[in-house]
Amino acid sequence: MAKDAAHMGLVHRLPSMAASALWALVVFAPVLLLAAESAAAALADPGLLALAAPTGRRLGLMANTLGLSAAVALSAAAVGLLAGSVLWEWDAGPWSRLRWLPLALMPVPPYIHALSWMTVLDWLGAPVSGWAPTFLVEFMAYLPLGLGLSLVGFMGVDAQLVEAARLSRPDGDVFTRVVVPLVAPALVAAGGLVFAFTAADYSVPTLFSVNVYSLEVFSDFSATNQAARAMILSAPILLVTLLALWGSQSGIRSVVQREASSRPAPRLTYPWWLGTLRLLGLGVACAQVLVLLITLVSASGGPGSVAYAVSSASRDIAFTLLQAATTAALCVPLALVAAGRLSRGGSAWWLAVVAPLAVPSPLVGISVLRLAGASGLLYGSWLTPVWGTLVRFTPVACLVALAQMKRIDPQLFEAADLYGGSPGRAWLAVKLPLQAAGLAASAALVFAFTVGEMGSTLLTVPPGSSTVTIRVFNYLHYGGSDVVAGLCLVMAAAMAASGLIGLAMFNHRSREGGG
Amino acid sequence: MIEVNGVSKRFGEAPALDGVSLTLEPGAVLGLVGHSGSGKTTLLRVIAGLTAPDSGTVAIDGVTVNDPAAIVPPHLRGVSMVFQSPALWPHMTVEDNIRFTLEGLPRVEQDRRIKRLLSASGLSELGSRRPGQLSGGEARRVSVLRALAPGKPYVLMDEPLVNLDPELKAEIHSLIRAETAGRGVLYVTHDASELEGFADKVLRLRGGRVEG
Repeated sequence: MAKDAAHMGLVHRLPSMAASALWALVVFAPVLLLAAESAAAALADPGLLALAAPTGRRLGLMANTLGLSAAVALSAAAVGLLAGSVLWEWDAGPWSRLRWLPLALMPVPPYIHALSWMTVLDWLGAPVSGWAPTFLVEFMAYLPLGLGLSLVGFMGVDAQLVEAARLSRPDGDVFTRVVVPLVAPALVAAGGLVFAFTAADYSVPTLFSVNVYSLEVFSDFSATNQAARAMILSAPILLVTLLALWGSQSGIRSVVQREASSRPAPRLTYPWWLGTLRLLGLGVACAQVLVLLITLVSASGGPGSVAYAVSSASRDIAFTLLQAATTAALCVPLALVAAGRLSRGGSAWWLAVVAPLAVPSPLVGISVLRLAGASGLLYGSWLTPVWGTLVRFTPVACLVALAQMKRIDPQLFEAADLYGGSPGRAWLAVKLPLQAAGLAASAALVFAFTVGEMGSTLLTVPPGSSTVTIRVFNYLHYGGSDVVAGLCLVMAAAMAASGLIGLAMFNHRSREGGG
Repeated sequence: MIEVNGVSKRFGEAPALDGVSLTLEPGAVLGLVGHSGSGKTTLLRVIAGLTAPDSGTVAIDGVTVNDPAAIVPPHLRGVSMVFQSPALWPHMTVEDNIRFTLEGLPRVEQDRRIKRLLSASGLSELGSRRPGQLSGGEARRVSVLRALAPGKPYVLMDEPLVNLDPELKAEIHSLIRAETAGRGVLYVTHDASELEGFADKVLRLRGGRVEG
């Protein structure tokens, strides 16, 4: 009997074990293989290890990267806090439908924001190169992420904790000493993620003539075509971004697993200075949306020009849609497996899931290219860039799926196990339908992010093919034009629509299933 | 004295309070009994300033606190409140939860009050713990202490013994009786037996109206 039970246990665990192995193969195999190759290369030529120590010019690049990333992360978290505190109160009436709008542009890549702000800075006569515009654009590009996580943090605050404090202290004190500490995990998560993304991005710095470390990795690989060199060169930035994600891990866990409070947000009366700062924060969040839309619409030259831009890039658009749809479809089963494992996993699983977010996108491309080339698997096919975007965005899909799963009453799953007959029937009839909206939300967000991905795709796209992103980025180096603006407008609209669909699905199932 | 005059409040179409009037004298204990959904919690929230009434007035010690021209904020109304759930701030220790309500007093006085209350309730050893490290009964006792510590003249109690086992109920009930002596207490519950030998007067709330 005990033997039968052990056998049945193994049978039940097999699909999960197989799926975990698939996750490891798809997400980690490329980078791990590259790491192993790099270690072997370093053993053969110890001089290569010098690349891992940032000295001289590279030390300056590292300082530039860390300074920029820290400034962007702190600013996005701070403005996210202020604007989030306003949106938190928009929980009833027509405003409640508008509160997600400032987040609509979350998937829009930084270089599209760059095009917009270049236009504005040019119009204002401000410098369009250097550290300041780079900071501005990175901040605006990642503000929706900071704001979104901050809003999720606010929505998890139990109103009764705030009300209990209001009986003892003025509302300004209540905000700074009770509300802000309760939202702090979400802000830490926002800061960590924005720091890692900014440190890994080179598209904006290169447009504004600022040298950063991840650009050095890309340039070195372009010049030498030596993957091991690129990996060793990436080690310092990889270490820094991993540390940032490790430091914010508890915040990310808290945000993902926190249930939204069922009580309406308390209406606090803020002191004038705090009220002014909150409105300024909201203004900046709105500017992030409006500047992008207004500049792109005005620069695109009208519907005729947009139609021309779209038709001239039709092959690239088709390839982009194929890549994004395939990535979105393939990430769903991986996200389902990892989310299930994560919901009962410890710190090691959490780090394993978020670690790919720390890998600079060019390194993802290089490692996928290397593994595809070494194994002959998918090399030169349209699936190579898909593999790269899967590595980059499966963690996002997993976190969204888990967040939605946590909002479903666990007793519904337990009841399915009890009455389902077989595990397969319980899964198909109850568990999958309950999680379907969360998985669809994951897929929609991954689709949106993939449409804008460049760092990995630029290296993995097969000869003779291109994506809209690459086309836009190449155009951008020669300055803005109506064609670029038209393409960016179409991309931004597609990504915003896809992102909003994802958010709507997430909220729909949260209300319906999780209460 | 707390004077509630003709207070009404609706949530959508449903009336939570329908012209409620009552008076709470300083030093008296007024019991309010009603079923779930009868408007008990809403009435306490209106008095505390956490919910604005649609109509009617609330006056505390002669001052109309919900006058639209000069609404008195919750922390200046001279009331404290025990909520249905402990509502302890998770990022603060037990001591800090209580200390938050005592700001403005000298540190020595704060320490004295905290020590006395924790000792009186048998929680002296738990001062440095966080709410997540407390049992349900301990958390409930701390929430009562937090409401009593600042010595405000009126205490509002919203089902402070709900979902507790009989032994713990008796323990917390005796703590409330001992520590609220001399203050005006408005105690709402669905269980009239909690008010026996404690309340000077008991009213019944049904469908948002006061009876009896």
